[in-house]
This record gives sequence, structure tokens and C-alpha cells, in this order.
Amino acid sequence: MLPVKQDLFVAVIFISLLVTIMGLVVVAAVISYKKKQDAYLHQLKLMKEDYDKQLMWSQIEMQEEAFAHLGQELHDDIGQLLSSTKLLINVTQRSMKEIPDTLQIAEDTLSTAIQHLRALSKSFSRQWLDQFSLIENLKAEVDRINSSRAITIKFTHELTVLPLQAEPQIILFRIIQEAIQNCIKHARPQVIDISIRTAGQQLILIIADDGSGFDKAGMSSIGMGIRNMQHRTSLLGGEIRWEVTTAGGTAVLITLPLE
Amino acid sequence: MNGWVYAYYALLIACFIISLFHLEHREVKLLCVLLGVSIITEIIVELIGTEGLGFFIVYHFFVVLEYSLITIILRSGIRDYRWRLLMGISIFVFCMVSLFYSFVLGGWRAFPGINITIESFLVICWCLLSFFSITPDSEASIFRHPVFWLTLAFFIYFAASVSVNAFYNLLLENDTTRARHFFAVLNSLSNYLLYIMLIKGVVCFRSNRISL
Repeated sequence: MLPVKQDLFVAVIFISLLVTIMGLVVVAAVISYKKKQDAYLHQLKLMKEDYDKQLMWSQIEMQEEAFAHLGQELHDDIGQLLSSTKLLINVTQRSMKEIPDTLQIAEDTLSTAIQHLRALSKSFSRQWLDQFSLIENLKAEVDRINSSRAITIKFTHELTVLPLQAEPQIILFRIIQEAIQNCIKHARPQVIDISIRTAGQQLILIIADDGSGFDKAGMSSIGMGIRNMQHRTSLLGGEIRWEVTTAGGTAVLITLPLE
Repeated sequence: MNGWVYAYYALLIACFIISLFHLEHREVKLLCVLLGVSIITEIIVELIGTEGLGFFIVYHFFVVLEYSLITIILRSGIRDYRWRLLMGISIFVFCMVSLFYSFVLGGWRAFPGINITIESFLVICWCLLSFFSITPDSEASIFRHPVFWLTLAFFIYFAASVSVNAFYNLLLENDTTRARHFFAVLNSLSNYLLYIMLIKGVVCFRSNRISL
């Protein structure tokens, strides 16, 4: 061992102090790094969210373009073919002394198909989307589905004009369309209730049906449609959830913040 | 030769060999040169020293080279242009001042104590700057950052060297043998820490590459 002399004692004290200072410097460096890292990760998260939003908007824009194109094609191609067919049937009917019931039914069915096709192509058209009003278009959509008489949709709303821009309204409309399609496809309901109301600074939208309901536990294995609805709702800064109604049907609850 | 005191030579060689496998990183390349120069210097000192010749001249050149390489390594982790410029200028100034002092004022046969002390203070300053300039680029902790380990290695080594050198002459006056023993123990301890941390730094370069 070294002799305990004053100089050595001072040296040991000095070295201990030095080690402490070095330790403090390292701790300060670690804390500084951690703070910078938190700021960096926060920035990264914001950028990712922004990127996701832009990606979603682009997807929606592309989808709307595709819809517009599809609507145009339906109107110009299939619509024209059906109209020509109807014209031929009419010509045939005129040349016949007695029109068979089956031909009459075929002509009526064809007329209904043309009407439905026009309504559908209208709902896809860009022009229709540019002057978009969710309430008005939802009414038209409800009428279109109700006219099939396979199902009844009741639509209630407090507002005549929603305090939302055209694009969010289009997104909300697509969510409702998806929800209706899901109802018809999976729950086979008799009645679907759609209601839109405001509560404070929130817009509340409920789509409820009296169908066979769904297994809430099985929601983890969700399909593309539901994921789309969730993405679109989050894009609008809102929330979406699925509940089982007291009657055993399904209720889709959407809440959106209002500016 | 005291075996355990000088066993850090093994660590020095191990560090040099490990760095040879990671030469794709610029910092490791410079570190490899530094370690190679250190090995050559130690060999020359051992050879000349045993023959009783003035081997201090080797240190006069080694100090200049060591400072230049360490400063360039630490400079690579700093993004601020002004600091980088200052570090670059300091290399040139230090080299001029150190060589002037060695060959004009102090003489090349004397131990370059002043040069080493100035070098140590400068490196400690750059280490402090480097510590607070480490920029996070992922979720990885600072302990996986190679620059952190390289900086810590140089910081501990030079801070320990400065403090030991400051007290060495004072202790020598009281008890030469024990003072030299004390110096050798602390010197080897700081060397062990230096090479262990340098190895950790080089390994972190590899980990970063894998995670990418």
C-alpha cells in the first residue's frame, strides 16, 4: 500500500473529484441526448402522421377519379346498350298484335335497370361530387336503395347543411356507403336507420340496423372494408366504433370534431 | 516489465485488429491509423529505451500525430460548421506550436510534458463538444452510438492523464518508487479503459450497420 501522506491524500481527493466531474459530464451528455432524441422521435411521428394523411388523401382522390371514370363508362357504354335494348323491345312490341306478359315484364325490368344505372353513374360522377352536399346526396342514395324495395332505409338529420368542407363530406359519404353495403351484405336487415346530429362541437352519425348483428370478439380479424372505414374516419380526425343494438342488430357510431 | 501493468498492449493490438475489419467507416480507418502509429511508437520506445538512447523524440512527433487524428475523429461527429472549422485550424496551430516548442524552446531530448498537457486540454474540450453534439437518428440509446464510446474513451483517458501528470512531480518529491508505481497503475488503468471503450465503439459501428 502507498504511505498516507498529505500529497497523496490530495491526489486521491483530486482524482475522486475528477471522476465525479467526468461522471456528471457523461450523465449530462446522456440527458441531453435523451431530450434531443425525444424531440427527434416526436418530429418523426408528426412527419409519419402527415405522410399517412397525404397518402390517404391521394388514395381517396385516385378512388374518386376511378369512380368518376366508372360512372362515365356505365353511363356511356352499358347505359347506351340497355337503352338500345329497350328501344328494340319497344320496336318489337309495336310489331306484335298482342304483347306477351313476359316481354312486358322484361321491358319494365329493363326500365328499372336503366333508372338504377343512371342513379348509380350519377353518384359516381365528378360533377356530382364537385357540388357535393352529404345530406342531399345521402337522401338520393337512400331513395335509390329504397326504390329496390328489398330494404328500407330511414334517414333523419337535424341539419340541412353540414358545417364541413366538400372533401370531408365525400369521405363521410363513402364511409356511410361502406357501412350500408356491409349491413346489406352481412346482416341482411329489414330496416336501416341513419341519423346525423350535432352535440357540442361534435358531429354524431349513427347507422343502425335490425339485422343478425355481429360477433364483437371477432372484430380483430377485420376486413378491408372496415379498415378503410377506420382509416377514413381517422383522416377526418374522428372516431368510429361498432356496437350491438338492444334489438340484436349492429350500430356503427361515428363522431367527428367540427371546426 | 510489470506484466499486468503493461498487459494493455494486448488490448491495444486487439483493438487494432478489430478495427482492421471495419475499415469501411472513416472514423475506424483513422482510429486504425492512430492505433498502428501507437503500436509502432511503443515498439520504438521499447527498443530505443532499453538501449538507453533519447527516445523522447518519438513522443514529440507522436503527440502531433495523435492530436491530429483524434481531432479529425471527433470532428466527424460535429455538424456545426464553425466548430468544425475551429477544430481544423487547431490541428494546424497545435502542430506548429508543438513542434516549435519541442525543437526550439524545450529541446527534443526532453519529455514533451507541455505539449501533452496542451494536447490533453484541447482534446478534453473537443470531447465535451462532441458529447453534446451527438445527434440521435433512430430510437437507439446513446450507448449504441459509436461516437459516444469513442468520445468517452478519449475523454476519460486524457482527463485521467492530465490529473495524474499534474500530481506526478509533486508525488515524486516525496517517494519516487511509490509515485512511479502509482503513476504506472493509473496510467495502465486509463489505458485499459481507453482500449476497452474504443473496442466498444468499433463494435457499435458494426451493430449500426447490421441494424440498418
